[in-house]
Amino acid sequence: MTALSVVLITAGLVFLAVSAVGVVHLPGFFARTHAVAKSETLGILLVLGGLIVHHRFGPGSIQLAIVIVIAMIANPTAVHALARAAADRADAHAGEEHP
Amino acid sequence: MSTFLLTATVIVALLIVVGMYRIAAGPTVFDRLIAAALITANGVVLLVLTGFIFERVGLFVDIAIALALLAFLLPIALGKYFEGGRR
Repeated sequence: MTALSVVLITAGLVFLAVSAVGVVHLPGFFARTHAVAKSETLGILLVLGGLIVHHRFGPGSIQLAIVIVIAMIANPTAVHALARAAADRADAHAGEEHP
Repeated sequence: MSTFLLTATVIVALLIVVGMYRIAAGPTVFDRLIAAALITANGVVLLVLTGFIFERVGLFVDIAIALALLAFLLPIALGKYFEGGRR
């Protein structure tokens, strides 16, 4: 367990925690999309990158890199699809701070 | 070393439970869907960490690839469904 992998995994856990607290605490639906699309993706990237470093670029690293690429492409795209579907509806604009 | 990974797995599982609050208390259906996307993305990380604890990295990473693809397709399909009904 190298020190670099511990640092990367801890930083990734911090970003995942920020994302989860943000989804609970932020007002309105569109503010919560910021938490899931940006902070969550960075947390996934850092944790899986730390696990690649911990695995010392062994036999499973290509598949871990595939998971990282899929998560970085898929997570913001899926959140954007939900936000675009909610943009025309009035009930999703309900709980915002600055309408 | 394995204690650190075990702690990380427990923390990610607790973050999944924190995300479940928004599923219960979201005013609109989109809040619940965004919390489902959060839980699925955390589940991918949980699967990979579990694979490292059990020392079978290849198996659990394959399952994590499948879950990441499912987490990609599900909100897009639901967004299309909610968007199409307004036309």
